[in-house]
Amino acid sequence: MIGDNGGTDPMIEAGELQKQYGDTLAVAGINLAVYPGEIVGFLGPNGAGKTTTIKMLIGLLRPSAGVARIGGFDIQRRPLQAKALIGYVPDQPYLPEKLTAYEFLQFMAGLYRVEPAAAAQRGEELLRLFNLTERADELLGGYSHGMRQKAALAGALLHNPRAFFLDEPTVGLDPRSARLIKDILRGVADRGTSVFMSTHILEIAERMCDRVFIIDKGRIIAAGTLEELRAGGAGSLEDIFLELTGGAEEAAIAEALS
Amino acid sequence: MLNAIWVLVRARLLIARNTFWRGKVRRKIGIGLLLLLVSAAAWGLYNFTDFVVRGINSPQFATLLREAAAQDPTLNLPADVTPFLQLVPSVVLFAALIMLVFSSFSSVLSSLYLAGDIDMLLVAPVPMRAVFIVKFFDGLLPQYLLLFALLGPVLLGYGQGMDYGLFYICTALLFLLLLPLLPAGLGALLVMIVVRVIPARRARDIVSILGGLLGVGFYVITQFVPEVAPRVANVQNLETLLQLNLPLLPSAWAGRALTAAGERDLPTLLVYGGLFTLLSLVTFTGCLLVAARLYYIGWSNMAIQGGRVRPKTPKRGVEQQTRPTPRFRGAAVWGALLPDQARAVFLKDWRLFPRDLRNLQQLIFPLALAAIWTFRLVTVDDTSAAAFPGEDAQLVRTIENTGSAGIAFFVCLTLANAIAGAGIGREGRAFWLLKLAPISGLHILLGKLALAYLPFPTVGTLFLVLLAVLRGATVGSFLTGWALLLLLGLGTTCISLGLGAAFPKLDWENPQQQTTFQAGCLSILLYSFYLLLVVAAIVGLPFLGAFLVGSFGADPRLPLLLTFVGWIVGVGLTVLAVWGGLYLGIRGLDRIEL
Repeated sequence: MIGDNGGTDPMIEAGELQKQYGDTLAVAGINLAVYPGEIVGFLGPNGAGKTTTIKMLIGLLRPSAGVARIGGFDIQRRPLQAKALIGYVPDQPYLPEKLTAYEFLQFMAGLYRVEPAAAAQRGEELLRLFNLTERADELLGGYSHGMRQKAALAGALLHNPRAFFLDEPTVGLDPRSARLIKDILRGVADRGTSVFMSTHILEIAERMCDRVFIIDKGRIIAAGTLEELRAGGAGSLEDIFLELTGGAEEAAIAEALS
Repeated sequence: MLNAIWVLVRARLLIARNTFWRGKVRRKIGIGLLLLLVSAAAWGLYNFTDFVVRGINSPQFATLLREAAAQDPTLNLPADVTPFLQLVPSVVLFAALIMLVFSSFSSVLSSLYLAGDIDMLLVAPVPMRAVFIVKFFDGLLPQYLLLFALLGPVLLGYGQGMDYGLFYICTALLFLLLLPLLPAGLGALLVMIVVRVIPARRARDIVSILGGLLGVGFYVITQFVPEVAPRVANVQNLETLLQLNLPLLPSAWAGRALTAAGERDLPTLLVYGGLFTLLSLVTFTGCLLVAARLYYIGWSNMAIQGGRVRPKTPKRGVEQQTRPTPRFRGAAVWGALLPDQARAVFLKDWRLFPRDLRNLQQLIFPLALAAIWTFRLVTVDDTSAAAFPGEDAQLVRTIENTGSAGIAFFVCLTLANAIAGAGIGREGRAFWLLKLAPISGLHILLGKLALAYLPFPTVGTLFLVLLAVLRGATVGSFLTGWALLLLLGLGTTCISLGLGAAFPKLDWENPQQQTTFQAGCLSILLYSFYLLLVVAAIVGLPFLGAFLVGSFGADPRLPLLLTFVGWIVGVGLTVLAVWGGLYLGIRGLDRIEL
């Protein structure tokens, strides 16, 4: 396993996780562990296997081989126990368009068996936090991408997940909302939730993440804290990323062309 | 602009080619079979029309007509059928034009405003008119396919039957190309005006509903054909058909021009053909001229239209929302029978279903069917049982009462099927929420089943009560029919729901494509088989017992025993259908990857 946190059991764990589509090995045996209270960044070029890995970890995709565990529960063998601990916000949050935000939260509360009074209070808090209260009676179909993202976040946080997955969480968000999400992620991590997020924005990863996994061609090619990664010699996370994923050569070509 | 059109057409052709060549083998075979079927239908239509026209045109038919007229002069049979035969192209083109008028609005609306690539095209440095032309004809493709596959063979078969030559064939093909321009052009203008006021998606929903109502209207008319046909189908009314050839209608211009082409009457062809061509091209050009401005305005209007705001109450929070509103109370009571998570799914569907007009469209037909049957039952005297003596009358009454349950069942089945079959598919791309949640496949399906089964205890019961009152059924026979209705409803709904979950379609754009071909076909096959077995057991076995007692002097208690056995078998088969349907559905849900 990559990552170690003394005696604490990992909240998110992958062992030799693989996904094969026909002849293509999208994810080629990933091992990772994320501990309670950690914010972990999952970086990689387009098509590296980030979304596929996340989807296998949360049970939206079945691995071709290997195991994914949430809170010690195998997501394939004990899906209900594992899923009860998960919160997830995809990069494209498709939501039931003909529900209002209130109704959506009510639906999520029902799915995650949150006690109605607690769901009501927390729902109100989250809607207020995401500045959606004024439009909470509007159908989600009329929301902008950013508002849907915020509604999805509210839905994902309603049941206080212990393992929070985000796929490109800041895409489509204005700077204020992006900042809000960063604050929220730090807050939930401080309360012991493991946060696992994929992002292309290296500045976010650099500023927020306790540890970083870099994936390329379906394999984790680097993992550790920023200090550990910098020990190799490169300066910023961008430099490390480009060096590891071969982007430095492309940058040189681009510079030559310009 | 021509270059831009070529680029767009080429891209469309590439997409079509890739979709076919890189598609699954199953799909290729399906398309091949469909092509074969359509070709066979076209060939059949061509030969049939040729045969009929030759027959009517033959001297033998003329002789028969003269003899019939001589035998009964009151019939006023025409001595010469030539004017009626010459009318055929006008009538056929009139019917096609009407169909095109009704269908063009919706097809042009979808292609001009609801295609996935519209945003990309309209922001690209491509002339607006080029996009309009390509999208306009893209929307007309299904109409052209239908025209050439169905109307083309009829017109060509007619020409063959009338011994018209190559000139007629060329004119017919040209008119087939021109025919959709007028209705689609008008439809496009209307669409561009409408989307300035109503969001395009809402307009599509409304048009779907209107289309559904039109279909129901047509069905209602066909139901009264036996009463209306004898009054309409007579020689006098045949004369009124000639009015369809009056030179006021564009279809009559095209029809007259076609006949003139066949008879080499060049002046008539030039006048009427010219008028038809001119009108079609002028309409299309008019559209093109205004499209550059109107099309863009409509599109930009779409981009700024927000969602519908539900009635807002001050200080309304989630806590208040959890309390059932009056409209919601019935659902809450029904939902209370379910486990927590299944109830959440049911209540969500209960809210969502009526908010999408396209869902309601699916319910129009069965409800109209129920209304027609009720009307017929009210207006037709119940004398069939009275016409039979003694035990036979009882038998007829039993059959009638079972028939009542059958009618109520069929209405509910159509309703439940529309809800159950697409139960999982309706989730669409938002299915990830259910897949991710800690809810078992069984609970998801239970939530879906609660909504889909609802027509049986509600609409079915009401309808059955009405039929029982109208037919004077006994309490016993009513209860038997009711139990049968609820039992069969449970079995068929579970089969539909399970297969819908086993073969789901989650990436639909058009809600009418929420179910897959496999799910639809297998559902019909399986529940037909299930129905056959259960009805044979519950209804057939007691009849067998009565027959054995009457004909072979068997023990008189045998019918009662077989009734009991029939119900046990029926319940057993239903348990099997419920288990099988849910099992298939749960396995299907487990297999779904997103």
